[in-house]
Amino acid sequence: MLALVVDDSRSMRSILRRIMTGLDFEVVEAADGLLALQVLEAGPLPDIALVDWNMPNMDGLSFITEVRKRQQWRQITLMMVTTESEHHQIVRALAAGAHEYVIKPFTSEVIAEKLALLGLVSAGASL
Amino acid sequence: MTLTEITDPESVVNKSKTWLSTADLANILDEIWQTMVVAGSQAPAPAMSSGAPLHAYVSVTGEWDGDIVIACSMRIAQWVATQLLQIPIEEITSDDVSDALGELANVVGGAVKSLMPQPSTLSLPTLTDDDPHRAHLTSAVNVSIQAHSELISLTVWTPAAPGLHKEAQ
Repeated sequence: MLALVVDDSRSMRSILRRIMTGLDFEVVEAADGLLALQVLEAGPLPDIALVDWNMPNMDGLSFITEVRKRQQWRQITLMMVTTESEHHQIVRALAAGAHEYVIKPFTSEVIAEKLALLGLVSAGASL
Repeated sequence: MTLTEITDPESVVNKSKTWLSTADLANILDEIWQTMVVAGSQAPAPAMSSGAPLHAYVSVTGEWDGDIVIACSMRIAQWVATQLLQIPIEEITSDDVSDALGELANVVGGAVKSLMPQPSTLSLPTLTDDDPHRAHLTSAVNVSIQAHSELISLTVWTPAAPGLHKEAQ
């Protein structure tokens, strides 16, 4: 399985890469929403994209909105991973097409649990 | 690691309506430090001298206006970068240090913002050698933690002038 990690912080991309690799995902990275769209255009399509909200050039909400406009990208599972914790922000992300929402800081167990809920790893997957 | 409150207990965001206590702030810093920085394998701290402190900060604007500032030595900032990136200290660049400390400020800022009046917007993080807080932000809550015999401080700056405080709900 392939995961796309979209975050402007190299440190956060590194943390998420280690977690996803530990769950047997291959990982590609993008530093903002625009670069992430280029990754999707180039293919192959990821099974899941883990997307930060606050990024330069194109933020995570705009990226999710763009992805959901494309029929050929409908299969991609979208998980917002962000510091934004206000209720109305969560509602906006889910309404735009995010399947799951994780608030930073997170543990590897939280990411694994969310992936299990989405059917992308087995429940209780070891890291 | 030990947790130390270094702020005068009277020095709170608003002396009549406290939005954020030192205990709140200490809990935020401790949880994020443990989850993001300390978790996983532990790299040794760099041996170089500490030098002038670095400041990474994010600003919040909206129903609540304030700055959230993380300050530590270059030595500790390099160690944070090695922990987050899991690469040897010899390979850490100044961009890595900025990125790591900035992301720490970003996550801490998000947690502080969640306790304050909403809606509000969080800026992208900035790293600076100078004390970065804006002139109209004159009231502070400050806590610190200790790692490798040095302090990492977290300060939340907010307006102190009458009328700028939001009343507690």
